[in-house]
Amino acid sequence: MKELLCLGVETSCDETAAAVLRGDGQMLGSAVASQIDLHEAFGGVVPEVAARRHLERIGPVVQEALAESGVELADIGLVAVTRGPGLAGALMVGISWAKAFAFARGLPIVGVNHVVAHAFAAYLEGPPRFPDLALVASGGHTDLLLMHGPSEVEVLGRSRDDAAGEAFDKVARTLGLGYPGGPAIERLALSGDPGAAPLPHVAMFPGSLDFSFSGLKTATQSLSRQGLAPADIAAAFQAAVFDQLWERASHALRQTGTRRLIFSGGVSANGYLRLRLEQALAGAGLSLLVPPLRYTTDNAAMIARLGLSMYEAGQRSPWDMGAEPVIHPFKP
Amino acid sequence: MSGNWLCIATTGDILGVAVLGGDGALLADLRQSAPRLHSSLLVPAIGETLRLAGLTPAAIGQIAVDRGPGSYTGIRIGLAAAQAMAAGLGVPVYGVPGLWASAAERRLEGLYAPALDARRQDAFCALYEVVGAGLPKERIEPGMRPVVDFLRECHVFGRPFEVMGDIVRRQPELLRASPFARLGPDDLGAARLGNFAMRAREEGLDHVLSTAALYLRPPAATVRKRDG
Repeated sequence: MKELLCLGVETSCDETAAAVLRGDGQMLGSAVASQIDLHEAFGGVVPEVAARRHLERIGPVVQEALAESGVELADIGLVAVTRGPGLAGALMVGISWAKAFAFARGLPIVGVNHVVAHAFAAYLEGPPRFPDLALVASGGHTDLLLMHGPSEVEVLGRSRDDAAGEAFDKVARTLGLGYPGGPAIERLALSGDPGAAPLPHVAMFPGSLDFSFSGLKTATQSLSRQGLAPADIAAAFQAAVFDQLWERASHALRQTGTRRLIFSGGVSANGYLRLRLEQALAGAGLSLLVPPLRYTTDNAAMIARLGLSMYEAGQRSPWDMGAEPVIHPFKP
Repeated sequence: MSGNWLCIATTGDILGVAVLGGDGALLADLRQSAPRLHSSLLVPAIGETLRLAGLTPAAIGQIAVDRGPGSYTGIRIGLAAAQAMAAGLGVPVYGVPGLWASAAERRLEGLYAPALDARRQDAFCALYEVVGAGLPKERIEPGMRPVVDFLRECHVFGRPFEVMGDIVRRQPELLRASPFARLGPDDLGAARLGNFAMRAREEGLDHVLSTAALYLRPPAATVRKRDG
């Protein structure tokens, strides 16, 4: 029997992405056109600039993913597309493309939640298993998700202010490092002493699994003004981020009885955080599951992975599916 | 002729989808008032228009889509969908300059001023003249301008002109104050796109049928110097 091929399409922020996933979970090809250079001059993503670039790139990016996969458009049997959260104008490019393509070919389409898809990036390594606990940390989101299935996702905690990745970017700017801030801080922190720069412990009221990173960001600015060594500040900041992630995650693991933690999103590319989490989990007899490095940041492989699981669970989206820039509470 | 035309207009409040036969005969014409809902409603509208025409997607031989100007998001929704359908069906797609295609619906010689409301008293607008049987000639190039400035430029020609497009519905008082402006239709549907593409190809003007978006304006964003 011919294997089902799922085309994933992602245009929620500043990456135009497409990927082809086989029905047995095997990744065939993935293409990402980043817009980092385009937005750098503005100091952030400009929605109209992003949307215009998505339209220019969507067709070529799909072709690139197909070429890498060694398949033709006509071989595709299922379409998965990000419907939110994200920038409205950016999302609409991907949704319009994906719906029209699926309609023309008479294919089923599944709209997926971008944040849940980040968690599902970990299943590009191995088959989904439920329930599973996921910590998704990126430039736009910091969410602790309890996943009972592809469409049954509970938000146990989320950032009250900045996303973890956003805090990395802003601290990097304070320290005069480049963008994106994650890799720059990780590199600099290698030569720093976290004990030399005192940062506050960020606590929530008892029982809350929410995160907060803006206080840390402000504290690093203050340390920087006091003239502390940037390397020490970077090391202390990273350690403080770990403390907070682990405190909430370990609490959630105890609360839910899950035996492993998925750590995904752009921040999960940070080697220090991966290592510390792995050690902490091992100490508790638990395991860590992370996506392949190239699927930690925005990509369409994770969109196809979640879309395929939803499809297998019997989900289909209607032709009048629109963008959902804000999906809250989580209804993937 | 090489199959039926699917025509897609998403640059204004009114979503338009039409199907033309290969010979240009109108088979179905759907117009739906759907402000800010084009991304949800376009594909269902295409399905409904094909049903009205008694066709399946496989019977589409080519696609014509409004490439602007107009709503930036609308332009993108139309172009993304048209290009995706064309890729899925393996058929050509033609991007049509929307204002020109509106003027080209008129065969009576004279001046025509298609204009789309761009908010804050501005319009995406141009002036064309129908002369003989060819496509209308451009007299004022497409651009975004204050409506009053545009009217003043049109008045220089010293002749009546017909204003067409949603500006007729949105700014009627400005137009009525003009001694030369005549109020035309506020929506011209999607069939004009296929009609225009056929004529442009006959006249060897294939280069105007690209699928590059015609925003006519750079994105509204200013570069902020980073002060570290």
